Amino acid sequence: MAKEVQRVKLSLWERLFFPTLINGFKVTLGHFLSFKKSKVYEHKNKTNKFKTTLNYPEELWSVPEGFRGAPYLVNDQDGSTKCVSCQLCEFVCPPKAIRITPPGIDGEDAHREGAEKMPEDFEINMLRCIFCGFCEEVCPEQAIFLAKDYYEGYNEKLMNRDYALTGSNREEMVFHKDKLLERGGTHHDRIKKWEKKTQDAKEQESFPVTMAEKNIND
Amino acid sequence: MCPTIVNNVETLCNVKHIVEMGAEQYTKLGTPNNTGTRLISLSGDVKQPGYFEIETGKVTLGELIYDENFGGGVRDGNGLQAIIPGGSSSKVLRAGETFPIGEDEVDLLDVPYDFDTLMKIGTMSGSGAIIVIDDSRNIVECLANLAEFYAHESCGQCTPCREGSLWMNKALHRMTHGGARTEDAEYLLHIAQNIQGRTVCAFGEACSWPVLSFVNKFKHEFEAKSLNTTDKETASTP
Amino acid sequence: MAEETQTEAPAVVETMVVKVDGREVEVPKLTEDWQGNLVPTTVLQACKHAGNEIPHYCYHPKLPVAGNCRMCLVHVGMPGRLGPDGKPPTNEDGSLKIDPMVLPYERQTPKGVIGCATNLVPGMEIYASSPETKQMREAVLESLLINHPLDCPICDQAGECKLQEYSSEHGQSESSFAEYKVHKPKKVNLGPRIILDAERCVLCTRCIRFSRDIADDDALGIVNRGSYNTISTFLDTPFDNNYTLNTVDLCPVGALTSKDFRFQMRVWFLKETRSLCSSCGTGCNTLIGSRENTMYRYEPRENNAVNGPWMCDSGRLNYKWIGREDRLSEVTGASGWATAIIEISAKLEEAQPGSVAIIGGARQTNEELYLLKKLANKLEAITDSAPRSGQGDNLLCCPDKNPNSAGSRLIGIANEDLGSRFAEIAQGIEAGTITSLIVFGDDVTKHGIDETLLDKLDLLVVSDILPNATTSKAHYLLPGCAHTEKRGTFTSVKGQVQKFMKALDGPGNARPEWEFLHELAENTTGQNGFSTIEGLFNQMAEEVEAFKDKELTWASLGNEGVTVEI
Repeated sequence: MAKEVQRVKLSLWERLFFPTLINGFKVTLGHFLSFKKSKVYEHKNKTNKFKTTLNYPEELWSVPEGFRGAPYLVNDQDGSTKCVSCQLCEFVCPPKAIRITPPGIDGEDAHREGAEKMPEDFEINMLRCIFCGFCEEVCPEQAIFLAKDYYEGYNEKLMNRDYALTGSNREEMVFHKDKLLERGGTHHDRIKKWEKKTQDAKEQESFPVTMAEKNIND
Repeated sequence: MCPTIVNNVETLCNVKHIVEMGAEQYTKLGTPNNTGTRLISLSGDVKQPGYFEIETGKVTLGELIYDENFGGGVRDGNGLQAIIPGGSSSKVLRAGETFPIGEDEVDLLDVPYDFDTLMKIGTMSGSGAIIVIDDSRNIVECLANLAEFYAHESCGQCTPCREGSLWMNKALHRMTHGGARTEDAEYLLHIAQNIQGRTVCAFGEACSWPVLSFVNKFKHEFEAKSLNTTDKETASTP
Repeated sequence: MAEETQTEAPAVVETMVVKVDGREVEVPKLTEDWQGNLVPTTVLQACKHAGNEIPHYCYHPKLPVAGNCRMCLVHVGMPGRLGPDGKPPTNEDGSLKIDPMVLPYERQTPKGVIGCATNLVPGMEIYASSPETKQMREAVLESLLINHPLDCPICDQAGECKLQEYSSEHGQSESSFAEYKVHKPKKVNLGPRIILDAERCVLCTRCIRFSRDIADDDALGIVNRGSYNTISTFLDTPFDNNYTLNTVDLCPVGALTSKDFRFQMRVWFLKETRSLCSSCGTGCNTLIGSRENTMYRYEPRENNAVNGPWMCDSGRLNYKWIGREDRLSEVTGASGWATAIIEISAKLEEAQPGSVAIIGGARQTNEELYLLKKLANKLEAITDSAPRSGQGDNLLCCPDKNPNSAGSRLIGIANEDLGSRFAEIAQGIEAGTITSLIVFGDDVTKHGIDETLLDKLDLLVVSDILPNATTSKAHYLLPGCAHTEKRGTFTSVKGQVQKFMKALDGPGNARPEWEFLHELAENTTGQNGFSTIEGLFNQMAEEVEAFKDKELTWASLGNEGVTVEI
């Protein structure tokens, strides 16, 4: 049986809503007049101990340790794109923020021989992304990582790490492949499995009967 | 397509006797249930390798190897290590093994060469090709040689033999080229057990039996291979 | 007819009882083999009856049995050999003695039999989920995987791969394999539509058997020995018959992949919709794979009354036009659908009886042709459909390239000879007796009614999907939907009435033809009709003789359709 919740009867004084407004102003005024040191901005406020606001973007919010960052694509140490467009991240992404355009048969050759394909485009809608990290977890190629971003023009001496994912419109907040790769940077791949496979194929085994050259790229 | 028959030399050999002697006389050769003659191909480490025709069951393995009429003894005065009694796919017999036949405990060299007895002691007379291995041979290398043959011979029709025969060959190749591991004996048994009895034709047994019998009867040799550091690239490799 | 069906009592199926996992199951003694002959039931089929699916790669119900993958190995118990008295050994209580099979030379080791090629024996016990059977499956899977490249991230088969499925269901989490893998040719161009990745191949030979026994083109074979076995064509002969893409469906792994579908979309994103192929009169049953209004592929859907599990390459690849840029998407001649329908119906109401001709293309659905026929009856209009013919073959391709010629005939739009009335219509226009022409889905300029004749008309209403010479002359152009974008039924050349479902949305303002035809017919004839496809079909089935005979309803069509007399 559904439980019925009785609406609280407000008195006339309460229905004017002035008391809540006044209560709100009290909080603001309290901060304004406060002589307590702000804990949130402590390390930033060397000059003014009692400041409670930030001069963003010159001053940046200090990010809690637990923040893992936003998802970006990475290249390996040879500058090859690691993503092979398997679309598992697209599948697992809870808010459907990832969108991959597969290369098709005529797509650009993968940077690494043997990897056969890489995405034509890779979009992450940072407005939809919930930074859960499922994409990093599911990636079979270690090609997508949550990385903490730096504010553009970042100066390490002055600023700490920041959430800074900014854009002036919605389109700008959809990051495409190039931008994601640029921000993701380089990930050192210790195994290099695709290169290893190709190398193994060339060295370890000589196939008994060489088949006629029938590579599809010809 | 025309019907084709390819006759084994041994068959024609038998035919000759049967035509000459008559069937009744022919069945009097050999021992009961193992009648007639057999063609033996004696090879390996014997002084006189070659083909011999024997009455089935009237000659023992020891006679075949040591008798002047047959093998004439093990080569270079070496000791006997093992006998493969019926073609390379039959199970190997270790020198010094004894078998309960009837009420007696019979030594390997006293085992008569016939179908039933060899079956009783867990191997077979098969094609009649006896391979003698002397004690100068490394048994793992002998098996590697056999495995290479079987990997090459597998037609590839069905999965266990197609994959398993090359797998065993690769493992044995690795073992004989400095990469042996202590667990390799069990590893080989695991592969071979998953081939026997699961293939389309008898080649599955043919390629897994040598491995099963070699590893079971010479387990110490296989384990020793991993400890033998002389033929290893780096002694420190575990 | 009705008497005949009554006398055809279902044949008595002889059954036998076998034990599957200790449970007694009654199974038919005989089962159809790949050619439809009755042969003894196998262990695999018996287990299927018992609801215990035996994993298999090389076995396929529509192909000859090869028995080479060994995935369907099961441990069974058999009655013993007949004794000297000619009777099998029995237990103390007189029941048949069943012994689990063991290797003859090693009696402690269980022996398996392959389910696909082992016939049932009375009294047999099948241990389909025993530890022994599981061990055999694990071992075969381990063997199959040792030389497999495990490149699922770049494999188009991932998601519908039997190797993936069985590995997770029956496999081990790890392998003891410590050697180097065999490397085989990758990205091999087998033919114009097929790419082979030999490393992924499990050598089940399904593709070989299909080409040899079904497509009658013995193009594929195995080269090299042992682990180096590779599927290959003979030297550089391309594998290019019209059924090659079926081998992609048959391939349980990603060894044979379609060039058309290569790296286009991952299969787990594809929504499957039951549909039909519209490329010829055969009416092969298909599954459309689509994602977000884009169609990625056709796959054959098994229907033994029509196409079995196969379909031809030309039909399968004939879907690109659905997404073409130049699809008709806007109503022309009026400001929109509502005004267009009102204006057209007003003009048709004024038309003299007999002054209207209606061309109902045989690519339209039965329902649409039925509505056009209703319109024609009211207007006393002359009707026809344009013929389309092409190459046929002995397997599935039909020389009649219209998907619904039979429907057009049954409903009465066209007579036996499609297009035979075009000359009459052309003469009528020339003579001025025919002043209005309604064309659905045909380019009449290709059939003797050329552009100068079209210019003479007072009213030319055209509905089509893609622009052509006729649509450019239309006074009213009504953009229609492809069969993938609406529901309806087609009647195949053999009289199979089959329905198809909607997978995609039409482009722009395009609407399914039956929807606006219903409005047009209602305005013109004054008779109210059904505004749902189910109702419309059921109404049509009451009125069209051939459909009435079989008491067709939308629901009774099911997924495989019903054969009517043609």
